Amino acid sequence: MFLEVRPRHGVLAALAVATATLAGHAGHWRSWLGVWSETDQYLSSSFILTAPVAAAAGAFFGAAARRNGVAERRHAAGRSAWLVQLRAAAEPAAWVALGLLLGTVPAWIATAFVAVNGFPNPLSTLAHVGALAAVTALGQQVGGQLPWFLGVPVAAAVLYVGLGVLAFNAETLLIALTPLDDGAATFERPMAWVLLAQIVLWLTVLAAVVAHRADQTRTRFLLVVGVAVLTVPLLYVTPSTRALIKDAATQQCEAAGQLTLCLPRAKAVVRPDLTPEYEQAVTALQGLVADRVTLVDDETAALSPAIDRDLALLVEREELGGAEVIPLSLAGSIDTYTKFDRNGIHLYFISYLVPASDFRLSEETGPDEPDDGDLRRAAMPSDILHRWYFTEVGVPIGSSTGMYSPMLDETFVNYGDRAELFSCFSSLTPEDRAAWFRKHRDEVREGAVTWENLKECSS
Amino acid sequence: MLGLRAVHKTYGSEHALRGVDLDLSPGITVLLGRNGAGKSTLCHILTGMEPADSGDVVRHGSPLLTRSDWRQHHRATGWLPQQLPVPAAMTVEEYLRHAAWLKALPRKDASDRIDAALVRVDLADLRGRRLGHLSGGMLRRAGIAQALVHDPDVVVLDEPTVGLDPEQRAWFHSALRDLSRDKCVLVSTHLLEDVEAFPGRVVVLDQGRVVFSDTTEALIDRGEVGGTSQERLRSGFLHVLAESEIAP
Repeated sequence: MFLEVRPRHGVLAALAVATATLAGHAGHWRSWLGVWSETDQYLSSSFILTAPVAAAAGAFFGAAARRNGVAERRHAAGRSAWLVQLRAAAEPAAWVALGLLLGTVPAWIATAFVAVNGFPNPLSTLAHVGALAAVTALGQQVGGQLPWFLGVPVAAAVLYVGLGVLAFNAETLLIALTPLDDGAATFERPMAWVLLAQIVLWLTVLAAVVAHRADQTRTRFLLVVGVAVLTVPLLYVTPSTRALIKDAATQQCEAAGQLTLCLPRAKAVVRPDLTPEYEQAVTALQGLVADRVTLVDDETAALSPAIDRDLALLVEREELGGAEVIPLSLAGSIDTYTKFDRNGIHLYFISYLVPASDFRLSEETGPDEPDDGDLRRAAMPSDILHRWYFTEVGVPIGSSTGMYSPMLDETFVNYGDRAELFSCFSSLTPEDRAAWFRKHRDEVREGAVTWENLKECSS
Repeated sequence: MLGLRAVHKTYGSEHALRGVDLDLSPGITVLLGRNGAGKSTLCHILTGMEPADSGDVVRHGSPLLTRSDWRQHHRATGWLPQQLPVPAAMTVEEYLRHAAWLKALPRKDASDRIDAALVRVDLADLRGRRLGHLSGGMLRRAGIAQALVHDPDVVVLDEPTVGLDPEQRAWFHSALRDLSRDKCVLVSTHLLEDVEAFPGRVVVLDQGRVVFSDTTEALIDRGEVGGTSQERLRSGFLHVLAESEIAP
């Protein structure tokens, strides 16, 4: 057994590619763990880094083969030049592919432990491998002409800048031709034919490079024509050329007390963290909501007629069962990421159930700004309810509590002597508060609650 | 067995070979010439490392025209270049195994052939040593072993003794004489000592032309009478070069 590439160099190249595969996502691991399509997307988008690293590795291997005479010996081979040059391209490509797998497998394993459904997309990984193999071979060509200390940076820089230029000026083309696709899509993945076409395209590029090295002029010409022909269907690919992952979009409902939480299966990973939050919210708002509440995460709406029909059936079934159905597209803030913002959850929920005519998230002064130079806005009745709710569920109010900061403390809102209404409302027993909510449910839900309504608290 | 027909080669405006005709027959042929005479270019063309501008490489009387012809030629030719860059991390055995694969030696025969080649160059004990840890002389032996591993019928060696100490040079002379018993060997050199060591045929190349092709004795006879055989050989060589400069 012999290796043309020095194993130590091969291992270094593999580690570099593995690092490039994962480095782009350092710091936001949680954002893709648990959702397969997210994991696939993030791994694919690492192509912007893995490709220059692979090209640099190829350039290094190419320069080494020239320096140590292996390239020259290949010219005097008694075997088919195709076979000799294919082997010359395959060995560096294998190290690079190993690096990609070293970066990919931990991501798969991490996702598999958390994800409720789905599986990795091997076609996506194969497209990535194919593209890296071709890029490595192109890098070898550069390394065969330049010393390594020039070839390595030149190959990496040319590819990185090239990808960057395409990303800014022809993103659709870049996404169509390469595995690079950073548009997150929880319930969709690139269509199989697109990935297959990419695999064939890049393997054809690789074959053209091998043919060039094997001095097969006519075959090289035919392969270059093949590359052009294969590019044509991919030119029609847009970011929306995606296949729905029906299984990931299927709703899954689980009841907990008076709450039923329905989430698409792909997002079920957040259920354990999300359920207690909504349970707490529904319990606090007894009387304002029905005795049975069903929260439906309808992010999947409009993905397909079948999904829409299933959603409508789900809502209809829950309503027939006596539940109040609240769509999370209106009352929630669970985005495609698996890590949600707790403050946001409660801010959106209370804003949906207790709309405010003058509710503000910033410190802008309102129309009722007092004339005494006080820049705070005047309190609205809904502010009392919101402030009570946030206190009840433990969401801090003020300006320094994160992205979804309810700015409801005295720094921003002038409660004046109405502050005592907040104290009064807070001191009610849950039963009395539920009774108050029941009595003023319509006013509160329509954003028409008045100071007079709130003053009933003391009676 | 192997030869060149009217081979021309230029590098830019420099004529490296000018219509060279050459025939190699079994035994040793010494290709003698000054530095820059075109010896390495001739070896490169003969071994297919680079193409001629015009003319043919012929084997058994037939020009090598197709890829298949050249492949067969490479399988039957061993080649030791003047500069022998090596993959320093490979062991001697891996180096020979790589050579055996490139020369399309069947896997089942490779181990035996590697053993035989290593024995032939006295490197059997160092088969596991990395090439980067070998001395210059040992490296040259490994180079010969890789040229022989596929049991070629033609071996081309470009300046194989340059840079070797007298003891190693003596070993080489002996080894190549042994080799020439069953193979056609072309040794390119600018050292008259090598010509003396290989009594047989001498081809003198000057400015890209073959200016002498005969036996060692005939070259010696061209020199001045008297003196040692080495002095007469040098004299004969210089005489041949002088004649070639006068000739149109």
